[in-house]
Amino acid sequence: MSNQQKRWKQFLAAENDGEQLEYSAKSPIAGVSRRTFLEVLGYSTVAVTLTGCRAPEQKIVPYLREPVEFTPGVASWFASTCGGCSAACGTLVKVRDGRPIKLEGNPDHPLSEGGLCAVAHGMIFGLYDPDRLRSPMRGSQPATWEEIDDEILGKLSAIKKSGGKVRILTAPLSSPASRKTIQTFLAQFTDGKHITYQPVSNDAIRQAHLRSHGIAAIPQYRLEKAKLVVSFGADFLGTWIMPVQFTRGYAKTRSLTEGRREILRHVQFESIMSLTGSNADKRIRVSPHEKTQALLYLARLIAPSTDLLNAYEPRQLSVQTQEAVEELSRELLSAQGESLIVSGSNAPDSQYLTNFINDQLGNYGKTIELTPTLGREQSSDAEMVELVQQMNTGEIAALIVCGVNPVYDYFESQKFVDALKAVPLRVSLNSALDETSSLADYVCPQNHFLESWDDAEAVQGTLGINQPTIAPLFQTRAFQETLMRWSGDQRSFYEVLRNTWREEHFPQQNQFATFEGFWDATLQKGVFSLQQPANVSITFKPDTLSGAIGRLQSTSGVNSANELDLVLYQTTSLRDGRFANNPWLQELPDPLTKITWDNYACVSQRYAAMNGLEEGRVVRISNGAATIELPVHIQPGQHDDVVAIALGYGRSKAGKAGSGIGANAFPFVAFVDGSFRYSHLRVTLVPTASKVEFAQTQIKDSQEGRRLARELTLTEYVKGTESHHEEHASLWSPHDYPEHKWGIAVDLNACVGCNACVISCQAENNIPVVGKDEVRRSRDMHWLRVDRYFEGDRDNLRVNYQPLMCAQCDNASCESVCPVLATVHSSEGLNMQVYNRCVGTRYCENNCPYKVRRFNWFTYARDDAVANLALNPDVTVRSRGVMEKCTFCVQRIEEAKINARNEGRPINDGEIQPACQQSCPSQAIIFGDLRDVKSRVAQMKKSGRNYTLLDELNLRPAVSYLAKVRN
Amino acid sequence: MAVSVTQPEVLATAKPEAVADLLPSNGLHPVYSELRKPLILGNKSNADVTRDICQLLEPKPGLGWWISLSVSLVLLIIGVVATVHTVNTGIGTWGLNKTIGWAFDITNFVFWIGIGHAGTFISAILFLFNQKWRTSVNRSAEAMTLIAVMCAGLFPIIHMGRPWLFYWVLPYPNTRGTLWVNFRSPLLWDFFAISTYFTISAVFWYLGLVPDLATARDRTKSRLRRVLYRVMSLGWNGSNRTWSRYETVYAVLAALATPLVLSVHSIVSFDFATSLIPGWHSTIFPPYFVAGAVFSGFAMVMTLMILVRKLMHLEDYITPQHLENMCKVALLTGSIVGLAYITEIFIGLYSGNPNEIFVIINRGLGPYAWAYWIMFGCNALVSQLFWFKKLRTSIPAIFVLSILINVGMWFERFVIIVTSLHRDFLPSSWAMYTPTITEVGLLVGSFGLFFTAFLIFLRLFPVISINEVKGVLKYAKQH
Amino acid sequence: MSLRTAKIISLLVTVIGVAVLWQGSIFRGLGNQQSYQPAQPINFSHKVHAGDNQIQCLYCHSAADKSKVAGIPAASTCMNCHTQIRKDSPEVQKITTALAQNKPIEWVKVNDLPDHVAFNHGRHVTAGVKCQTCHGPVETEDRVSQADPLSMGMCVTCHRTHREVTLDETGRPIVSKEATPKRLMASTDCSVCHH
Repeated sequence: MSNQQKRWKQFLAAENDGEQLEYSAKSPIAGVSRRTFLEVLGYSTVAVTLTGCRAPEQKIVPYLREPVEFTPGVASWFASTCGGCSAACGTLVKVRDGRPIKLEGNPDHPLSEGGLCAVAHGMIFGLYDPDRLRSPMRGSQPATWEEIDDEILGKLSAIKKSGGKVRILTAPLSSPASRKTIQTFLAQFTDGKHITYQPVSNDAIRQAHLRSHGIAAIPQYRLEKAKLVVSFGADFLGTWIMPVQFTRGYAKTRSLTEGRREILRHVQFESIMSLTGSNADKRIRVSPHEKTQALLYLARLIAPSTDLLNAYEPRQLSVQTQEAVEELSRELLSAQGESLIVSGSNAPDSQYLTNFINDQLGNYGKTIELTPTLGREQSSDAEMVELVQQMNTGEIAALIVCGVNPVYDYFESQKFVDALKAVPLRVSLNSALDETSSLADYVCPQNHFLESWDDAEAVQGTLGINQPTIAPLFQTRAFQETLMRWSGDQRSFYEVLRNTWREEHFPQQNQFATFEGFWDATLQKGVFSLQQPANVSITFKPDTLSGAIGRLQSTSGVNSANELDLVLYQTTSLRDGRFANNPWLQELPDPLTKITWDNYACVSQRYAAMNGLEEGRVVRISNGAATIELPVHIQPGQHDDVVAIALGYGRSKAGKAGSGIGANAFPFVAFVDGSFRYSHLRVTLVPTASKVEFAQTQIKDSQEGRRLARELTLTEYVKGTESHHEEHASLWSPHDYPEHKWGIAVDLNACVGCNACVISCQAENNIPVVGKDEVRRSRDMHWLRVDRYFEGDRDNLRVNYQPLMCAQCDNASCESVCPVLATVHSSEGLNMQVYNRCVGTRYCENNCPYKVRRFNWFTYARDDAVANLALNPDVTVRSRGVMEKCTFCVQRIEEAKINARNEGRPINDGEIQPACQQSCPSQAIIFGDLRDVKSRVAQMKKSGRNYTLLDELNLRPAVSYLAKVRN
Repeated sequence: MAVSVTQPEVLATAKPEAVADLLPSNGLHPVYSELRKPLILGNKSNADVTRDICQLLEPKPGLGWWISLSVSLVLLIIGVVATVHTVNTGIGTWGLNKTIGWAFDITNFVFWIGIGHAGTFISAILFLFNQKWRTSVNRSAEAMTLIAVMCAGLFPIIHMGRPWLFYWVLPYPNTRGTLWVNFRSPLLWDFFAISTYFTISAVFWYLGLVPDLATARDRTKSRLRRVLYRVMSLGWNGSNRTWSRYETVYAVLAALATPLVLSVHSIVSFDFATSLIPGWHSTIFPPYFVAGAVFSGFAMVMTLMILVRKLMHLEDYITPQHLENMCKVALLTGSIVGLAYITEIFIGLYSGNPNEIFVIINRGLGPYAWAYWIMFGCNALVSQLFWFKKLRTSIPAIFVLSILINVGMWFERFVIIVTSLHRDFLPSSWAMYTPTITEVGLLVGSFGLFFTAFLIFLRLFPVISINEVKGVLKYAKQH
Repeated sequence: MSLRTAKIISLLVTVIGVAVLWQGSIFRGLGNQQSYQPAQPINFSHKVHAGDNQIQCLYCHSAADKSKVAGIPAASTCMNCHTQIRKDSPEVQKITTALAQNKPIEWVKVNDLPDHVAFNHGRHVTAGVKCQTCHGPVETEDRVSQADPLSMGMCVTCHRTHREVTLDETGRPIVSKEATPKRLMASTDCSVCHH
């Protein structure tokens, strides 16, 4: 039969065959129904649980008794004084629900004028430092104050009877009241003495002035009055005496706003690359020895009449240095009384010669005010050395150490340790169990300055008040009160302070009739300025000139090939190492090297090339007595005969964050005719086999010929340059800004790169610290960074700084790529980053040309209850896997908007200040509303120097820069 | 009368004109034409085909299969561990940083998506062009596509900082005052493109599978398999009507799938092309990416086919001729890719844009130059070797070259992503990238997943399209 | 798994899926605390105080018009009246003892927003939003419960519809009652609440 039929049959058969049925019958009905049942059950359970979901129970605990003048959730501000160093800048302390959470500059303070340095911003962390001592200690055992007081009082009375020597060793105290307390305490002993000790000392200035003017004091340098400042290695913008005040004055005289055409000229002679040198208009790279010779030569050219100097021949000066000095001398002579010479050396002779030159130029009384000032009643380096000798011979019956750490930073540490052993009664008033405290019989921890009353007179006539903004967190006590207890005075230091003010300062003023009025006003303002006493004009005493010149001429530079001249310097973040346990400061990149969490031996490019050293190669530095191992950092702009090492590292007992970071270079400090020396130190340098990788936040040094951080010369500027900025067409329709359009202008001419803004931002915005390894993986979290570029050749190196925060672009490349709308444009021109919406694709990070976005790679440590008290409650703490970035401090913007609206008024220009702007010592960052044509920022952006970064991308950033101008 | 199970292919899969071949064939006749080589060797009858393919499913798998499976399972486990570690600890377990936000993750993603192109290309486009030789490879090529797309799909989720919230990328009504997603974001387009592509490919593959599943259903002895095949073959009976419907739908789907082959990788390329990073921001990306995808896809098909025909003894079905044809496609697409590389260099240098110029130089001579030259060598140069017939026809040669090509294509994505990111506009934030063990684990793991799934496919479904192969048996025979 | 099971399951999935998608609001999401009504350490009744005795909300929640938080009254605030009124009631006694022993009262938080939401009571109260808008008829409740899911949707809907600030020609806001052509909505910028 045919295939057709066959197939037909088969289909027919297929239709009525029983197989289908058979199979379904076989299928396990029960099983099916059970599964189905389970499915349904599953779904219903889910539904039930969803509705049943409850968050854990939260407690809410109100006050028992309502405190007066306090609203929960509203921050209150207290004017106070920074206790970070003896410069005593004015601060405003932000207190939120009883916790100080931020330090800001006090604009009313006559010296700091609203500026603060990075260290000051770090102080907040210091308050909540988990490594602070929480109770007094006997040896290493916690004890109560009563026990300690009894025991110590007993021992002291014994000393009183026996008439033993008692010494109190403190840092230079700018507080008259505290000094007075110490004196009253010491008065009860037959031989009591207060000795101040400064590990990185500028005693030479005081010695020199004692010789030259008969006043052992550090004068007031008034940069704002100078037209030409010449610095011989003084890092006055970074770490020298009062950096914030100097930066403020420097920025003022260099500012080109309101149409100024002539600005301060700055010439720097230095052997290492310092923050100050990097800002100089003319920087002459000299060896420490050459620096002295240049000073001598300058003196000769300035004062040809002085026959002492005519003999001097600048043999040892290189040709270009010689020419530079000659040119400089001409400039100086034409700027008499408007110039200023400063020297960073701690050699009395150099300082003496500096005074001589300043005197010849008639700068005293003009740019230098020799009113007895900072560091009156400060003891000399020699006295410290003497003290150690006395301790060694066992003359000292009791030593009370307060706020200094000689075991770590005394140049002959071992000698001090041995001497300490010879002292019967060793008491430490330091707030942590540091190197010195751990060797003391008793540790009586003092309060953090934010917990205590104090005053400060860094400059005569400027009286700062330091008021407590929180009750002591732990069982600590103000060191003044401790001393008062031990002299049988049961009052609080607050009373003593008030009395001192009532008796000493109140009579000196005539503004206020009653003391209460005077006190309250001062307390509110944070500072009170007495009318300056007449500028005492004291004539220069040339009698020791010849000796000085002779000694200076006799100095010699490095002679042998393998010998190097060691220069010890301080970094802007760690200074002398007091704050080594502050992770914020440890992670703050050095302005020049951009290295964090480490110190290192800086050598010049040529030296490295000649000796086959590469970046990170560990070398052994030795002067015979002391030897340390440090990695090499190749530093452009440094002199070839010089190796530079930062002090303040290598703490052994700093705490969790600070111990064992870097190596301690204090053992290299020398003590030569009566003062500590930090340069002219001969060392040898031997490479080792090992090599380390630095935790560096910026690896590339040059701008690759891209015009990023722009600068022009003064003449170019005066000739007048048009704004480089032209509007490009855009496919996107422009945003509508009905109310505000926030913007920032950064004046690169003002910015000195001090990094204060970085820490201010970190404190304000709860930015986590990630640690050395993570920085090494280029995962630093700073929202605001200061880019640093080196340009030009090794002999005249140009350094440019460029602070970079989120530019809040109008055509933001980040906004278009986020799939979940976690970063969107606000009606006020901000790129809002919504942390709780972010899923972490990191696409925005890739697509951001400024690379200002930061990603939370891990859950960063927030486990320490005490350290968490420093968090700003107005800013969300970001979780793992979330992108974050600068918000222009939107929490401040919102707060200001709400206040303005509640009061039914517009927001005033300058009312909102982001953390970076608020305490910038040079006021380089200006924030404001661009829709308001009269606003300061809008005015700044009109300047011919104004340009936007990567303009060609047409992102229309709200942040623009004003080009730097070199004079 | 019940149908006997002895010759079920009559019932299930015989196409009307194919019935003649049911007669037992003696091995001698017929004579082959001089002009056309047969696609299927060994002078198979329909019955032989059915038997050959189906008998691969039934018996216990051979040693080779077990070894391969255990190896790929090990890789898969590594991948699982790496994933768990990442999700628990955070993206910090990878080598990324503030400058380089993507590296291995997206490289793997684009790589697998690329692999996923060959399948649909073969089954849809070649079908429309009526390329008979596709029949022996399309089934496994499509399976490979699906698996590759699955592998690819994992990475966008794993790479998120908060993967547990991945569903926020989907537009769905919510209680946030209805907060939608950003339709401007290429990542979102990706999501749609890939899911569409996956769906169509899956349907297409499944549809082609139905008749063969019916065959398998009727032949299988195993209870479990019978249930599975019964459900999946959707009660297929080989009636004329079914067949004609089937053919129509197949053709329609082919037409639907064809544009997708081109769209998917174009859209993936938008992730880069629409951004502003020099080295990403480029208009040639879509065609360049599609060519590259087909290129790598075919390379992967060749690798797999060579293994399969050895592993499953399918030398008669997957002949050197098939491989040669694929080599020709690889040669074409490879040349396009090579051209794209050169164009890229030209555009970069000719643009006059310092950033563009820098990227090109930095790729060729910068710290990642080695990666660039691996990519250039393995893609642009290796593909040119297929001009030589000797190499096109030598199985070992093809095997090696196809693997080289895939290495090259992986590095292409790596170069595009990393070298563009690590040195972009501001020198201050330039950085370097080094992968961590976790990232390597993820890459390895994706291969583990790929091969595991593929090996299971080999055992579970007819690896060669029985019904389509039967259609080309008479190809090259005289009548 | 048979064909039948497959059908049932797929049906279920579809039905529930659709329901969730289109009636999302009736399926309470995770963290939705609506109608949460915990027991408090003291049986304080808003009905008695705010309802029957008409005490203004701001009398106790004194920070509500000037701060982010409304503020829970200090125990001393209660004693302003309760030194005179119903001193002997056991509930009032609890407060007295709390003051005596210097032990603050630990209330259970009812309305709790996530930490990433910055809601400002002051602005809303000053802008004239009634407490009841979000907190429901508290004055009728003996024990307070969470009246609203307090979802983002609720905030946004309100912000989208509520007119608040009028602008003068320079685009600066004037807060005034009379309507002017150019009006500004309450902001819906994310950063208003999320920062």
